[in-house]
Amino acid sequence: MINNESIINTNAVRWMTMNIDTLKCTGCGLCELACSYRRDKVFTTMRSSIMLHLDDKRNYFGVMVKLPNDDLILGRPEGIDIQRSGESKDEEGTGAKPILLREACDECGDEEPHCVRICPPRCLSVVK
Amino acid sequence: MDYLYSGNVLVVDLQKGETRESILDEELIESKLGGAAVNLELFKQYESMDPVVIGSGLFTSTMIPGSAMSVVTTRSPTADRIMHSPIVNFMGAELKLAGFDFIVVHGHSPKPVYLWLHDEIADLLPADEIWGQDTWKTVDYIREEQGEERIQVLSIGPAGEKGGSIAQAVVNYWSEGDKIGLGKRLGDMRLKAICTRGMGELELADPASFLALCLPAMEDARTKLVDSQGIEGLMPNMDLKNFNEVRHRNSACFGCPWPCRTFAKYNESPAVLKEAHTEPGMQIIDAPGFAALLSEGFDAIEASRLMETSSRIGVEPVGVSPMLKGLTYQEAKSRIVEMGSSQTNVSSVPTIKGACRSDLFSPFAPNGGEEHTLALAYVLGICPRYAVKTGLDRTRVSQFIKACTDLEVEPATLEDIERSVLV
Repeated sequence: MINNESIINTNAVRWMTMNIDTLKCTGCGLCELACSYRRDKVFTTMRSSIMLHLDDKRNYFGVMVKLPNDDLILGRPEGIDIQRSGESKDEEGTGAKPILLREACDECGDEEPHCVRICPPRCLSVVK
Repeated sequence: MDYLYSGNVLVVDLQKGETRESILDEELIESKLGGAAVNLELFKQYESMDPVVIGSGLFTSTMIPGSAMSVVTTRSPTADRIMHSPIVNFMGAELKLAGFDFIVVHGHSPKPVYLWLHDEIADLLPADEIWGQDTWKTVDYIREEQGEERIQVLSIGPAGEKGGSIAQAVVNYWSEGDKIGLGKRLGDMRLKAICTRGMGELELADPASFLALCLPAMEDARTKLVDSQGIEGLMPNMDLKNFNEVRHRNSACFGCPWPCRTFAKYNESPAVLKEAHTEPGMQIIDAPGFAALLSEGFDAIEASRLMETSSRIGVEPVGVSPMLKGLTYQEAKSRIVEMGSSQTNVSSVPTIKGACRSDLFSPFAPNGGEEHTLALAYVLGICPRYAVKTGLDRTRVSQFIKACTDLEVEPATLEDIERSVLV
């Protein structure tokens, strides 16, 4: 298990300057739209590098982010974890476009990440 | 329509088992914008067929705060008049992203069917294997059958199949906005479910202006919603009894800054955060339904469990509650289950204190408001609860319309459109 503090000190994700406070997440999925807006100036849930994981029957929700090396950051209610490229595919997301088929997160280049700017409960933030 | 709509209207003739697409009339959108106002026009076109019309709002599925809603417009069998009912959760947004802006369903299917909407494709599929099943099994079946966990399902349970006006159409596993007898309407049509996965996209006219409007709107929402969460945020005066024993996490519908839903976890400890029990409890979206059960003397755990039973059977919990007066929990559960094997009727839309214009809008929003705010919310696809809580600034709405669609719609025109809904 990698906690919120250690994620920015882990080699695999050192480039990453975003933090995820998973228990603040309300599962609204706006981060997906914000990402598609930034990439293509459209609203869709199919192109985002950040993806809501939602098991509504269990009330289990969080986000996952695709990194440039194909690792995934899994922001789950019980904490943050890293799924290495090629490991279990359980968290890829089902259906039309699993996250591993999408573009990796580039943190919106020089801008403040759009998902961070729009996230209503501010569960996403930039680590200064 | 270049922006915010895909331009498709779907007409489903259940009698013939056929689906047909037509082009969305741009002038209709320019004059009525969307949601309930456009639904009413489509209802008039097909009135002789007594249709169920489902339409997305102009803002549905955008980043505009609270834009989670699609709207059902139909003749309520309980009120015997045209009413509007919200579809929120993730289904309201996914319907629009599936490529059909408005859907007109009419006729009676010879055999049970369900409607599967995805990627601008509409399939009417046999529902023989789920006819007779409860809503939870129906959702599980459809998600398994179509291979997607995020498929959104509006379905009826056994109560709707029996045709009683107590029936409620349920979104995924949870009792939600239908308090107008849509469950009976779908049951009479032998339409077990409408399900969707939105794989499309919506374009907007001026992305830069949109973002410049959206970010301060979200900040305003954060300010207005601070310290307001969960079912007690929605209904602050509700006596929740021992609810803390089962209280799990609050959550929000698609794109909404207000997490007004609270999950009751009674089949395992609410402290459990990992995926564990397959059916740990009940999402309390229908807080008025939960409050009605509490007021009949059930404790919070019993009321949560009865909410689950109501959702499974597909009955409207506010209307059900008086029928459970004086019963023990087990007797009450048995009574609700019986509603799935016989026809149970109610004589009116349930009365919910605080709900505005419950003769026109399903009383989903118990937090007051005034009718023009609700009408505008039902046109734009903004959740009525959220719209009432934060208010709708018509100047800002006009600016959003301009940024999204390039249409010039003055606040005074918005009021005209609202009046067309408030018939």
